[in-house]
Amino acid sequence: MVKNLVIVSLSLALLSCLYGGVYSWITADTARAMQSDYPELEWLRREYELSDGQFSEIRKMHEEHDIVCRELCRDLVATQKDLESVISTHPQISTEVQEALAAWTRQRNRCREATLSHMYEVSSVMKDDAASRYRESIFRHLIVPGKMPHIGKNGEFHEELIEHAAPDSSGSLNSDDD
Amino acid sequence: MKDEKPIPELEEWKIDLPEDPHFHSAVWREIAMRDATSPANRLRDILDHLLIPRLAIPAASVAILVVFLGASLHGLRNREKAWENLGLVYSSAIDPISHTGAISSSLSDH
Repeated sequence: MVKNLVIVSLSLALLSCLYGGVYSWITADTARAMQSDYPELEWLRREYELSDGQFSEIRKMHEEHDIVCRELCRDLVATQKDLESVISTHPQISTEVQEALAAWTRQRNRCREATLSHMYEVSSVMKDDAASRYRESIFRHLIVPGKMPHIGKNGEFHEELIEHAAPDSSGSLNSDDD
Repeated sequence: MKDEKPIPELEEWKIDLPEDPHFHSAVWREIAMRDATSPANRLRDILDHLLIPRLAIPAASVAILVVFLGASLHGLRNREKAWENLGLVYSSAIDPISHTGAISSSLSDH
Protein backbone atom coordinates (compact mmCIF):
# COMPACT_ATOMS: atom_id res chain seq x y z
CA MET A 1 0.00 0.00 0.00
CA VAL A 2 2.76 2.48 1.04
CA LYS A 3 4.88 1.59 -2.00
CA ASN A 4 1.91 2.13 -4.30
CA LEU A 5 1.15 5.42 -2.60
CA VAL A 6 4.75 6.59 -3.15
CA ILE A 7 4.65 5.61 -6.82
CA VAL A 8 1.36 7.46 -7.38
CA SER A 9 2.56 10.54 -5.45
CA LEU A 10 5.75 10.69 -7.53
CA SER A 11 3.72 10.34 -10.71
CA LEU A 12 1.45 13.20 -9.62
CA ALA A 13 4.50 15.37 -8.85
CA LEU A 14 5.94 14.59 -12.28
CA LEU A 15 2.60 15.43 -13.94
CA SER A 16 2.50 18.76 -12.03
CA CYS A 17 6.01 19.54 -13.29
CA LEU A 18 4.91 18.66 -16.82
CA TYR A 19 1.93 21.01 -16.47
CA GLY A 20 4.12 23.85 -15.22
CA GLY A 21 6.71 23.24 -17.92
CA VAL A 22 4.22 23.23 -20.80
CA TYR A 23 2.43 26.31 -19.40
CA SER A 24 5.71 28.25 -19.02
CA TRP A 25 6.84 27.21 -22.51
CA ILE A 26 3.60 28.47 -24.08
CA THR A 27 3.50 31.74 -22.14
CA ALA A 28 7.26 32.41 -22.42
CA ASP A 29 6.88 35.24 -24.97
CA THR A 30 4.30 37.09 -22.85
CA ALA A 31 6.47 36.70 -19.75
CA ARG A 32 9.45 38.11 -21.67
CA ALA A 33 7.32 41.02 -22.91
CA MET A 34 6.14 41.80 -19.38
CA GLN A 35 9.73 42.05 -18.17
CA SER A 36 10.75 44.52 -20.89
CA ASP A 37 10.84 48.32 -20.38
CA TYR A 38 7.74 48.88 -22.48
CA PRO A 39 5.54 45.77 -22.50
CA GLU A 40 2.91 47.60 -24.55
CA LEU A 41 5.45 48.18 -27.32
CA GLU A 42 6.20 44.47 -27.35
CA TRP A 43 2.51 44.00 -28.12
CA LEU A 44 2.88 46.46 -30.99
CA ARG A 45 5.92 44.61 -32.30
CA ARG A 46 4.10 41.29 -32.25
CA GLU A 47 0.74 42.54 -33.51
CA TYR A 48 2.15 44.48 -36.49
CA GLU A 49 5.20 42.28 -37.14
CA LEU A 50 7.68 45.11 -36.73
CA SER A 51 11.31 44.65 -37.71
CA ASP A 52 14.02 45.63 -35.21
CA GLY A 53 14.62 48.88 -37.13
CA GLN A 54 10.93 49.80 -37.15
CA PHE A 55 10.67 48.90 -33.49
CA SER A 56 13.54 51.10 -32.33
CA GLU A 57 12.20 54.02 -34.39
CA ILE A 58 8.72 53.61 -32.88
CA ARG A 59 10.17 53.23 -29.42
CA LYS A 60 11.94 56.59 -29.77
CA MET A 61 8.66 58.20 -30.94
CA HIS A 62 6.84 56.58 -28.04
CA GLU A 63 9.28 57.98 -25.47
CA GLU A 64 9.02 61.48 -26.97
CA HIS A 65 5.24 61.28 -27.14
CA ASP A 66 5.09 60.12 -23.52
CA ILE A 67 6.51 63.48 -22.34
CA VAL A 68 4.02 65.46 -24.46
CA CYS A 69 1.23 63.16 -23.35
CA ARG A 70 1.90 63.77 -19.66
CA GLU A 71 1.98 67.57 -20.11
CA LEU A 72 -1.28 67.56 -22.05
CA CYS A 73 -2.82 65.35 -19.44
CA ARG A 74 -1.77 67.65 -16.61
CA ASP A 75 -3.33 70.62 -18.44
CA LEU A 76 -6.49 68.62 -19.03
CA VAL A 77 -6.74 67.79 -15.33
CA ALA A 78 -6.30 71.48 -14.49
CA THR A 79 -9.10 72.56 -16.87
CA GLN A 80 -11.25 69.72 -15.54
CA LYS A 81 -10.76 70.94 -11.98
CA ASP A 82 -11.59 74.52 -13.05
CA LEU A 83 -14.78 73.30 -14.68
CA GLU A 84 -15.69 71.30 -11.61
CA SER A 85 -15.11 74.25 -9.33
CA VAL A 86 -17.08 76.67 -11.56
CA ILE A 87 -19.99 74.23 -11.80
CA SER A 88 -20.09 73.75 -8.03
CA THR A 89 -20.10 77.51 -7.36
CA HIS A 90 -22.57 78.54 -10.12
CA PRO A 91 -26.14 77.37 -9.61
CA GLN A 92 -27.05 78.19 -13.24
CA ILE A 93 -25.36 78.16 -16.63
CA SER A 94 -23.32 81.35 -16.92
CA THR A 95 -20.51 82.86 -18.99
CA GLU A 96 -17.94 81.48 -16.54
CA VAL A 97 -19.38 77.97 -16.84
CA GLN A 98 -19.42 78.24 -20.64
CA GLU A 99 -15.84 79.49 -20.71
CA ALA A 100 -14.62 76.74 -18.39
CA LEU A 101 -16.47 74.17 -20.49
CA ALA A 102 -14.97 75.58 -23.68
CA ALA A 103 -11.47 75.51 -22.16
CA TRP A 104 -11.94 71.89 -21.09
CA THR A 105 -13.27 70.91 -24.54
CA ARG A 106 -10.37 72.71 -26.27
CA GLN A 107 -7.90 70.85 -24.09
CA ARG A 108 -9.56 67.50 -24.82
CA ASN A 109 -9.33 68.30 -28.53
CA ARG A 110 -5.64 69.10 -28.15
CA CYS A 111 -5.16 65.73 -26.48
CA ARG A 112 -7.02 63.91 -29.24
CA GLU A 113 -5.04 65.76 -31.90
CA ALA A 114 -1.78 64.79 -30.20
CA THR A 115 -2.88 61.15 -30.11
CA LEU A 116 -3.88 61.22 -33.77
CA SER A 117 -0.66 62.93 -34.73
CA HIS A 118 1.36 60.28 -32.87
CA MET A 119 -0.76 57.57 -34.46
CA TYR A 120 0.07 58.85 -37.97
CA GLU A 121 3.72 59.22 -37.07
CA VAL A 122 3.91 55.61 -35.86
CA SER A 123 1.92 54.24 -38.77
CA SER A 124 4.26 55.96 -41.24
CA VAL A 125 7.01 53.59 -40.08
CA MET A 126 4.89 50.48 -40.63
CA LYS A 127 4.10 48.57 -43.81
CA ASP A 128 0.92 49.74 -45.55
CA ASP A 129 -1.43 46.96 -44.45
CA ALA A 130 -0.11 46.99 -40.88
CA ALA A 131 -0.37 50.80 -40.80
CA SER A 132 -3.99 50.68 -41.90
CA ARG A 133 -4.84 48.03 -39.28
CA TYR A 134 -3.01 50.02 -36.62
CA ARG A 135 -4.91 53.24 -37.35
CA GLU A 136 -8.21 51.38 -37.33
CA SER A 137 -7.37 49.76 -33.99
CA ILE A 138 -6.35 53.05 -32.36
CA PHE A 139 -9.42 54.75 -33.74
CA ARG A 140 -11.69 52.06 -32.33
CA HIS A 141 -10.07 52.18 -28.92
CA LEU A 142 -9.68 55.90 -28.46
CA ILE A 143 -11.71 58.01 -30.79
CA VAL A 144 -15.00 56.16 -31.13
CA PRO A 145 -17.19 57.58 -28.38
CA GLY A 146 -20.04 55.04 -28.59
CA LYS A 147 -19.47 53.17 -25.35
CA MET A 148 -22.49 52.34 -23.23
CA PRO A 149 -21.86 51.18 -19.68
CA HIS A 150 -24.27 48.51 -18.52
CA ILE A 151 -24.54 45.65 -16.07
CA GLY A 152 -24.95 42.18 -17.52
CA LYS A 153 -27.27 39.41 -16.32
CA ASN A 154 -24.48 37.96 -14.17
CA GLY A 155 -23.99 41.33 -12.45
CA GLU A 156 -20.74 42.03 -14.28
CA PHE A 157 -19.96 45.56 -15.44
CA HIS A 158 -19.41 46.02 -19.19
CA GLU A 159 -18.76 48.85 -21.55
CA GLU A 160 -20.60 47.86 -24.64
CA LEU A 161 -19.38 49.38 -27.87
CA ILE A 162 -22.34 50.89 -29.68
CA GLU A 163 -21.30 50.60 -33.32
CA HIS A 164 -24.05 52.76 -34.77
CA ALA A 165 -23.12 55.67 -32.49
CA ALA A 166 -19.74 55.96 -34.15
CA PRO A 167 -19.01 57.76 -37.38
CA ASP A 168 -17.92 55.58 -40.28
CA SER A 169 -14.52 54.57 -38.95
CA SER A 170 -13.26 52.56 -41.90
CA GLY A 171 -13.33 55.32 -44.48
CA SER A 172 -12.69 58.64 -42.81
CA LEU A 173 -9.20 58.13 -41.43
CA ASN A 174 -7.85 56.08 -44.28
CA SER A 175 -9.05 58.58 -46.84
CA ASP A 176 -7.28 61.36 -44.93
CA ASP A 177 -4.10 59.39 -45.05
CA ASP A 178 -4.15 58.91 -48.83
CA MET B 1 -18.58 -23.56 38.28
CA LYS B 2 -21.77 -22.50 36.73
CA ASP B 3 -20.28 -20.89 33.59
CA GLU B 4 -18.18 -23.87 32.57
CA LYS B 5 -21.16 -26.03 31.93
CA PRO B 6 -23.16 -25.02 28.86
CA ILE B 7 -26.83 -24.80 29.15
CA PRO B 8 -28.24 -27.89 27.39
CA GLU B 9 -30.78 -25.81 25.43
CA LEU B 10 -27.99 -23.65 24.05
CA GLU B 11 -25.86 -26.66 23.19
CA GLU B 12 -28.64 -28.13 21.14
CA TRP B 13 -29.75 -24.86 19.54
CA LYS B 14 -29.08 -24.47 15.80
CA ILE B 15 -29.54 -21.47 13.56
CA ASP B 16 -32.51 -21.78 11.36
CA LEU B 17 -30.91 -20.96 8.00
CA PRO B 18 -33.07 -20.09 5.01
CA GLU B 19 -33.30 -22.77 2.39
CA ASP B 20 -31.82 -20.48 -0.28
CA PRO B 21 -28.62 -22.20 -1.56
CA HIS B 22 -27.01 -18.76 -2.36
CA PHE B 23 -27.46 -17.52 1.19
CA HIS B 24 -23.81 -18.03 2.24
CA SER B 25 -22.34 -16.40 -0.85
CA ALA B 26 -24.80 -13.50 -0.50
CA VAL B 27 -23.65 -12.92 3.08
CA TRP B 28 -19.98 -12.94 2.08
CA ARG B 29 -20.71 -10.60 -0.81
CA GLU B 30 -22.45 -8.20 1.58
CA ILE B 31 -19.43 -8.29 3.92
CA ALA B 32 -17.04 -7.68 1.01
CA MET B 33 -19.16 -4.74 -0.18
CA ARG B 34 -19.12 -3.14 3.28
CA ASP B 35 -15.33 -3.55 3.42
CA ALA B 36 -14.92 -1.99 0.01
CA THR B 37 -16.89 1.13 0.92
CA SER B 38 -14.38 2.22 3.60
CA PRO B 39 -12.15 5.07 2.26
CA ALA B 40 -8.88 3.26 2.97
CA ASN B 41 -10.01 0.18 1.10
CA ARG B 42 -11.28 2.24 -1.77
CA LEU B 43 -7.92 4.04 -2.00
CA ARG B 44 -6.08 0.73 -1.89
CA ASP B 45 -8.30 -0.62 -4.64
CA ILE B 46 -7.69 2.42 -6.82
CA LEU B 47 -3.94 2.24 -6.26
CA ASP B 48 -3.91 -1.47 -6.98
CA HIS B 49 -5.85 -0.93 -10.19
CA LEU B 50 -3.66 1.95 -11.29
CA LEU B 51 -0.49 -0.01 -10.78
CA ILE B 52 -1.51 -3.16 -12.58
CA PRO B 53 1.18 -3.27 -15.32
CA ARG B 54 -1.47 -3.91 -17.98
CA LEU B 55 -3.33 -0.71 -16.99
CA ALA B 56 -0.44 1.43 -15.75
CA ILE B 57 1.01 2.27 -19.18
CA PRO B 58 -2.32 3.32 -20.78
CA ALA B 59 -3.27 5.24 -17.59
CA ALA B 60 0.06 7.08 -17.57
CA SER B 61 -0.25 7.87 -21.29
CA VAL B 62 -3.74 9.24 -20.84
CA ALA B 63 -2.64 11.28 -17.79
CA ILE B 64 0.31 12.76 -19.72
CA LEU B 65 -1.92 13.59 -22.68
CA VAL B 66 -4.59 15.20 -20.48
CA VAL B 67 -1.99 17.23 -18.56
CA PHE B 68 -0.28 18.32 -21.78
CA LEU B 69 -3.55 19.38 -23.41
CA GLY B 70 -4.81 21.07 -20.24
CA ALA B 71 -1.61 23.06 -19.77
CA SER B 72 -1.54 24.00 -23.46
CA LEU B 73 -5.13 25.25 -23.46
CA HIS B 74 -4.66 27.12 -20.18
CA GLY B 75 -1.41 28.67 -21.42
CA LEU B 76 -2.84 29.67 -24.80
CA ARG B 77 -5.90 31.25 -23.23
CA ASN B 78 -3.88 33.27 -20.71
CA ARG B 79 -1.35 34.22 -23.37
CA GLU B 80 -4.04 35.65 -25.67
CA LYS B 81 -5.65 37.47 -22.75
CA ALA B 82 -2.30 38.97 -21.74
CA TRP B 83 -1.59 40.19 -25.30
CA GLU B 84 -5.09 41.63 -25.52
CA ASN B 85 -4.55 43.53 -22.26
CA LEU B 86 -1.20 44.84 -23.49
CA GLY B 87 -3.00 46.16 -26.58
CA LEU B 88 -5.35 48.10 -24.32
CA VAL B 89 -2.39 49.33 -22.26
CA TYR B 90 -0.75 50.60 -25.46
CA SER B 91 -3.92 52.45 -26.52
CA SER B 92 -4.12 54.10 -23.09
CA ALA B 93 -0.39 54.87 -23.04
CA ILE B 94 -0.56 57.08 -26.12
CA ASP B 95 -3.74 58.86 -25.05
CA PRO B 96 -3.47 61.82 -22.63
CA ILE B 97 -7.19 61.58 -21.82
CA SER B 98 -6.72 58.02 -20.55
CA HIS B 99 -4.03 59.31 -18.18
CA THR B 100 -6.41 61.87 -16.65
CA GLY B 101 -7.75 59.55 -13.95
CA ALA B 102 -4.28 58.61 -12.68
CA ILE B 103 -2.94 62.20 -12.69
CA SER B 104 -6.08 63.67 -11.19
CA SER B 105 -5.96 61.21 -8.28
CA SER B 106 -2.24 61.90 -7.71
CA LEU B 107 -2.92 65.67 -7.72
CA SER B 108 -5.73 65.34 -5.21
CA ASP B 109 -3.39 63.32 -2.95
CA HIS B 110 -1.00 66.32 -2.63
